[in-house]
Amino acid sequence: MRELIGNIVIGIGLVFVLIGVFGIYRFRNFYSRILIASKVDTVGFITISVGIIIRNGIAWFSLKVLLLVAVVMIINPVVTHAIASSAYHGGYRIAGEEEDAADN
Amino acid sequence: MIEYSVHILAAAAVFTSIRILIGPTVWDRLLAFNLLSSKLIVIIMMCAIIFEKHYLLDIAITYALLGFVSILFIARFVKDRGRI
Repeated sequence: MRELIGNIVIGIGLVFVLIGVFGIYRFRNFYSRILIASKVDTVGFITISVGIIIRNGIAWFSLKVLLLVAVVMIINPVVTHAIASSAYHGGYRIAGEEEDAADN
Repeated sequence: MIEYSVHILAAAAVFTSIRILIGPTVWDRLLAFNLLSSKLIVIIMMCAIIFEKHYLLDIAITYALLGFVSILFIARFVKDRGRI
């Protein structure tokens, strides 16, 4: 029973990951891509990890997976912010937004 | 179920690698590399369940931290156009 619930949660996480992979081909703009891909992929990772924890029950294995979830929940938003900040301050602009960039 | 999940994630990793190859700018490649590394961490976790080797999770944690440091420093390096 516990294994069945874990498999269902892992399947939901796989759907999120596949949406993220579709999203980086769907959008033509870098900032749209970084918005859709990072959020969806982080959600997919956390959902799959919760499914693995449910599937294994209470053990040292689940504690290590929980530590990995904590690490990824801290570093994934930081990495996404670093890439977006690097693109903006490095001079990458969208074609129609030259006016807004002049104000800063 | 876990074995089929590994196959689906491997296919998703291949499609993410194509974005690394065709990405127009260097930041697209960095973003796709971030997504690829998170998919690889999930694949390593599922391999730890399939083969019942618990030390593979330590490898996954180390891989996550090394990928974090490398992407952060590459982003800082590209921002200043190569001037350190």
